[in-house]
Amino acid sequence: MARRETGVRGSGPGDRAVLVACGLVRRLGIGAAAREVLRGVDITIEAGEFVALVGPSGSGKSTLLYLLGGLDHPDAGSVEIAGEDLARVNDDALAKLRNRLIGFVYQFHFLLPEFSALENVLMPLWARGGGRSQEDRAWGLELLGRVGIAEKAGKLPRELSGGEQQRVAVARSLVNRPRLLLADEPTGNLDSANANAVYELFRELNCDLGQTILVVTHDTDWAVRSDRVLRLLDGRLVGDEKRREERA
Amino acid sequence: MREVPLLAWRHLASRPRQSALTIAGVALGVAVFVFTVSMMDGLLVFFTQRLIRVSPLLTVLPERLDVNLAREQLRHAAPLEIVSISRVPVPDDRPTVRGATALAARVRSVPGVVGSSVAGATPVVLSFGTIAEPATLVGLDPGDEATVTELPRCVVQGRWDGLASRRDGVVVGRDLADRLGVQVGDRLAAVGDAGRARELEVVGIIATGLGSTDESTAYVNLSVAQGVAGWGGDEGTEIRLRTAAVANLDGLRRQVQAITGHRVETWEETSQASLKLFRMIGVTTYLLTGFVLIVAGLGIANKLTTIILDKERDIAILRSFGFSRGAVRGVFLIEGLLLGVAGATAGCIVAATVIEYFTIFPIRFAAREGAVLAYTELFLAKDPRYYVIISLAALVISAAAALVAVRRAVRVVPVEVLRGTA
Ligand SMILES: Nc1ncnc2c1ncn2[C@@H]1O[C@H](COP(=O)(O)OP(=O)(O)OP(=O)(O)O)[C@@H](O)[C@H]1O
Ligand SMILES: [Mg+2]
Repeated sequence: MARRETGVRGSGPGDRAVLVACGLVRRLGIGAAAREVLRGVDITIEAGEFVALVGPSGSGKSTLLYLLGGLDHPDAGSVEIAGEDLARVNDDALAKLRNRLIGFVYQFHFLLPEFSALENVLMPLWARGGGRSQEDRAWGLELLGRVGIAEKAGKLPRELSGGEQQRVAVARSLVNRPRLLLADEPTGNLDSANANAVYELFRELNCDLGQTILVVTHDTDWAVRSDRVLRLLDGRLVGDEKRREERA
Repeated sequence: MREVPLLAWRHLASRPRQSALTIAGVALGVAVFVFTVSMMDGLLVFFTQRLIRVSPLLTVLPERLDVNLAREQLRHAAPLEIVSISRVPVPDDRPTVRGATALAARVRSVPGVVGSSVAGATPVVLSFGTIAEPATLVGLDPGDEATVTELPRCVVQGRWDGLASRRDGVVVGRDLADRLGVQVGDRLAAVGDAGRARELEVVGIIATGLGSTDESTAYVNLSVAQGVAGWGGDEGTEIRLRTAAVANLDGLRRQVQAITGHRVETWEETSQASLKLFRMIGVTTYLLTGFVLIVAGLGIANKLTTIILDKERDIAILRSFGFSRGAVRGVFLIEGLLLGVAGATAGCIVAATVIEYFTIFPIRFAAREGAVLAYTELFLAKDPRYYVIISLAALVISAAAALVAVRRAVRVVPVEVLRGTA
């Protein structure tokens, strides 16, 4: 598989930013239970980065990820993905934008139980009217091959193991060739062997395809092996370590 | 989006038993409805067929149109206004058609009229031994009547022709004969309004299937009725006509009115009360049966709501990677329609089978005393329109049910579902 261009348009460092989030504030809960879960978060992620987002439980990692992925709206602040301001579009346009720019992987695989692995992988393409051509199917199979389960393309999710299901979910998140892959504890439900396999997969995607990745994780291994680690505490970013140079 | 129907189909196919039950509900509603309509229409058709076999299609009545006109003119004239009325026949209140035989002959030559007969009906009391029963004595020419109705063929004992061979013969309605206790060959006495009496001999018993006729009518020669009623030899209470066509008789009616100067009624007008009653019973039945369909619609709404609640997470995930609200709505609308189409199709097949079965092996009822209509066999009308209209109704109800249920699916906010499951 050839190295794909991911958001590389110009040559200046600012142009390489896939994600720019400024002053994100999110309040959740109603009345007395209301609290500020995110209290002013700024993040910039550049094309090709492999970023881990860590923090204690309840620090607001998932909340931040939903904002960055255009699934939720901030109470203050802005999110730009590949130069597109998510606040400026309506609901359906936002859905299209997610389809075009972002891939999601969740802690739970969320595969549709009535559809085969390959169909699940192709589903984001269906949303834009594709997914039927020989070419699209070949791409779906290629992704399943890359996550190591090409031979199970025709199986239903319930016929796959937890690790295999999660790999299908990863393949699905990549099928629309997203600028940014967002993952929320993708190995939270897996044993260490499977977790390691999924990690290796992410690493490969990042190295071979230049896929930009933001992973929320509890797993210190992940944090150690990524290019950059963001630390969230009580709704604020308290750490940002780059370690690309060390790795390279 | 082309995969929307596929999503819908997989949802249903992955729960075959639930889907089958919902479809069965719709099918039952449709089948019951089609069968009921077929039965009610069958009853109406049965009644109508009976009716037009034994009733004239057009009836010339005693009421004169020109007299009415003159009366109207006089009634609406201002005081002291001079109204010129020429050639007014003597207005009298004797309820007969004068010169009936000649009029009948003239009307018979009108194109479209295929038979005519003069009849005179008069109230009498018939008595046999110690039993006396009020009845309507209908006088007619037995030969002429055969050109207008099938009364002669409804005689179940004795012979209609007995009227031609015996001037004092009488053909008695079956229920009336039962009440009097008479049989063919018995002699009875008829006493008219003014006390004029005649002795008659029963030459036949008639069963038309229409309650009013079988229970209270006795047919005699016209001259006998005229004698009992005290009319002249050329008077009758109606001229009965058979026409080539059964429907759209209005043009012919007006033509005959113009020729005779008398008011003319079509069979539909004459039997308006009964026809209206049947139609009203029909409408009531349809309304009641319609509820079965509505319940089936609720079944669809219920089933879809269950699926949607169950699929909230799938909906959220589809929306998260770019499915629009419209596409999600489409998925569940199509599911509702698929259930509706399958149910309607199954219902039509069941209804057609049941109707066919009861046509081949009809249900027979015991004849009932005093019925409006001797309805002794379940008669089912067949009309492809029943299936089309009722299926369409089922589809509309399914679509409406789906629309209601689908609002819930459209309201799903992906992030709320994901937060809840994270
Ligand atoms: N709908 C809500 N209403 C009120 N508070 C909420 C709501 N959803 C989340 N929260 C709160 O927001 C905070 C951040 O939640 P979030 O799920 O982002 O944490 P997290 O960092 O992802 O935690 P974890 O590591 O356990 O997944 C938590 O304290 C949580 O209780
Ligand atoms: Mg979380």
